[in-house]
Amino acid sequence: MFAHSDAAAGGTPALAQRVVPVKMVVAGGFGVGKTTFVSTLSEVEPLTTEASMTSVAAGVDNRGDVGTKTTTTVAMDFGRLTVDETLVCYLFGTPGQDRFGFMWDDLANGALGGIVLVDTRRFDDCFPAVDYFEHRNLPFAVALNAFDGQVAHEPAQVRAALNLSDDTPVVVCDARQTSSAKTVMLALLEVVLARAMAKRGG
Amino acid sequence: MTDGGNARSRSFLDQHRPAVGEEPGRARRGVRPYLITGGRTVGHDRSIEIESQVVQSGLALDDAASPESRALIQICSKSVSVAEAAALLSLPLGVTRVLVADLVASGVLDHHRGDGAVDDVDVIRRLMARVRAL
Repeated sequence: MFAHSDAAAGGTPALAQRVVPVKMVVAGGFGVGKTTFVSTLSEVEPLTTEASMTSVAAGVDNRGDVGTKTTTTVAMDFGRLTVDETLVCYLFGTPGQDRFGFMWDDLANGALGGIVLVDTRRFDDCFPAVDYFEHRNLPFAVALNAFDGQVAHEPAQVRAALNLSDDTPVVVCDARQTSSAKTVMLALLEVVLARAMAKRGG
Repeated sequence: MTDGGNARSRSFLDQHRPAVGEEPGRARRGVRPYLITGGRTVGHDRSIEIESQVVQSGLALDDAASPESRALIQICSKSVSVAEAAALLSLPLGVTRVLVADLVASGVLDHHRGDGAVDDVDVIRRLMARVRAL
């Protein structure tokens, strides 16, 4: 597989050091601070790319206004965190509001885990994301974004309301603060690590 | 406040995000995406994930290659994700995927996924250390 290494040596980083990509999915309702969260953790200004959703999305889109439209274009923001020369982590913000077309599967396939950002004043907005991650058995953390420095519901209340499993962290955060976003990421990564270790042990 | 919390994202979105319903191919380039992909539907190669890394293999590109393919190869002088390539080229993700699949098939690009990383304790620990250092 390194057959082209010599040819690639001319000014091109050779393949000897492959970069392993991992990704995290940042989900939640519209305007909950997903892009803010991504940009807080990203080493670069978040990039945007457009993705098309086919009619696959229409059947499960509860907005009900899709009608005969078969394709919708959504913008997806993502950030990057370079760990070292051989490992990079991408943070993808889910596009749209509550659309669960193939784009979501694209995001979740092979993801380490998910973060569900919650605006406790619009609590219901987080249900689709929680539901989706649970169905996929993807580890996730619930982060209550403290607008105005406050949350309308405490983590324990949210945990009970969402009927979350014990190993799903619920934390209060400020998506604009690095230290706060870090805490959310680490809470999630602890779960991811525990699962990986359990698999290795078993 | 809500506005404060979203100020950064909103200004960013205003600059970069196309209006809802706007077709990125037509609005930005005057070329419809299916022309770039030769009419093929997007996403036909599901093995290429959005985070998959693509990098030049060192093989030269065919003389007949499209400008989009050439631009893609340029961006892949270092290892980047398919999503990054799409964003940097201002091409829709699906179109970029088709181009990547073609160039991988013809040997001009190497591509690989992060398979197995999810269960790799070492990978997770390295990532945790990086996050702690933020």
